[in-house]
Amino acid sequence: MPSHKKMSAEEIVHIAGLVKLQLTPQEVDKFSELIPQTLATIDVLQELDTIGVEPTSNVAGLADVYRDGTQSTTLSQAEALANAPDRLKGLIATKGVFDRS
Amino acid sequence: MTKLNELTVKESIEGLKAQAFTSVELVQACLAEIARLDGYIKAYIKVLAEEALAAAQAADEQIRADPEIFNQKPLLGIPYACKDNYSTKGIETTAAANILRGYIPPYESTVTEKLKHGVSTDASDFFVTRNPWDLSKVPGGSSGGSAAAVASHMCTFAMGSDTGGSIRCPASWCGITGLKPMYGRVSRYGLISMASSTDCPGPLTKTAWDAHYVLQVIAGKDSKDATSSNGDVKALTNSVAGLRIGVPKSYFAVDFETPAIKQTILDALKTFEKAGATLVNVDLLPPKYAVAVYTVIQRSEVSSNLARFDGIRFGQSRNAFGYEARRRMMLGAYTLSAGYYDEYYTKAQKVRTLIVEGFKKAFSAADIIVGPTMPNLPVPIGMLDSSPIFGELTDMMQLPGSMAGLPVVSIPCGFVSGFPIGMQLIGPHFGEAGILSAAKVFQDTTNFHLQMPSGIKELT
Repeated sequence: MPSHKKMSAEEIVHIAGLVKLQLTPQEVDKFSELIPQTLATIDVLQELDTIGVEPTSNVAGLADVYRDGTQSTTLSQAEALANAPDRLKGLIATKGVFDRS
Repeated sequence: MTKLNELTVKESIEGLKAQAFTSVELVQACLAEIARLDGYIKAYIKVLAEEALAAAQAADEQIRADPEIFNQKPLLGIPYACKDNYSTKGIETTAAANILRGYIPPYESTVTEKLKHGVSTDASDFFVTRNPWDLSKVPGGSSGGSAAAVASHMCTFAMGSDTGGSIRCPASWCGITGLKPMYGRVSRYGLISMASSTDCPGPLTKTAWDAHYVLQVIAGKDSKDATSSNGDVKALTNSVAGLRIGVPKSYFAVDFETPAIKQTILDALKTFEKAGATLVNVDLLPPKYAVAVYTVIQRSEVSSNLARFDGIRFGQSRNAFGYEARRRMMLGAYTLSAGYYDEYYTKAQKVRTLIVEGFKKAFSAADIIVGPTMPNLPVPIGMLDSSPIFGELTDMMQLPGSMAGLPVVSIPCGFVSGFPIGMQLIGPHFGEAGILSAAKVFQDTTNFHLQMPSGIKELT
């Protein structure tokens, strides 16, 4: 069982990195208390015996859904670019993925 | 005389068919009410007045040419409000979030495409929306703009979405009918995703008949949403004679703000009994377990879904995320991270199975299940920050139905201290017609759903 003690600033910054969020020092401080608090409310799950119970991820009761192998219309280049704030030669400009310098 | 904006969908269609009034007049009546009231209530992000009037004019021409056209276009000429999380082609769609400011979808959601024959205005909650029954209280969320617009008759019906109670909570607190269809009944294509395994688009209406009517238009398999289902929406019946209504003791054992709320639901059950239904006890897990399951699964899915908002293809940079979104993503990233995944996420999914199985068992003894929608009255504006799971605690009775993907409708069933009280009717998979038939019988024999907020009547 987790103890739900206040989390360290390093832990919070690490989690923020996983979801690419830059937190202010105030937010780091706030989340270091808030996340353990929320986890404490989840502990009730440990009261229930789930040995041998399969996890449920989909409640629609569907399996193996495929779409027809037919062509359908898609966005035009102009439409796909319309919302991109940064464009280059008819393409969407992104930040470098491998450029870490 | 009833004003045109106060009519139900059913009455509006009958009037349009008989050419007693026009769609333009319906839209003008709604726009006039928006002009009078929305400065106080603030339900709308954007009012598409010109577009709505143009669509109404076109609808009137089609109705004049063929009064039977409603067989093909069931909602032709009916003014509706739409939560701003449905992608609408060429019209800014924000989900009331800064991260989407300026986003103009290049495609249309399946639901709004199917409602194209209606006349849309645009509702949501970028700012604080107020409850028409008491302007110092919240309408409930997150389809609060849609619910407030219906309750104050600024539209004929509205569209919302329900992930963990977001249609039923505001329907309950605003005194209207709110339907969360079965998961997969209505396509999610073009609906901005929150928790993909529980998101359900659905209508907020003035009556159960209207909710059923709108559902027939928006339901169905969609090749653009692999989780959508086929299956007819059955017709409504006019009787509850012989209906077995399951009453889960655990749903009545929670902390109510006042015992009068619980008593109101118990009185409503007596109304069903008088109409010929039988009450049976059913055992369901206490809602606190669904609260915990939902907290883990919703935060996890939110953190995954919001990854697409990178500010590269559309929208603003990730710095634009508000506090609420950050808080949810942070917990979701934690519960999905290495070392904690099994302890939290997998455990929650296993308990989700227990919730699903509990309902299956209950539905072998009962045809529908009835319980309270909310344990408390509408809260004052600004109170929602008091707990990291405040929303989950107030929505606790709705979370089991969400986790199991069941159809649920909330209808008004009484008043406490001047506020409407909602009761929820839960059905098995594909059971919308069953719960809506029971809701209609209740509304045929009571007049709670006909009450209008009196405080806004004199506002100018």
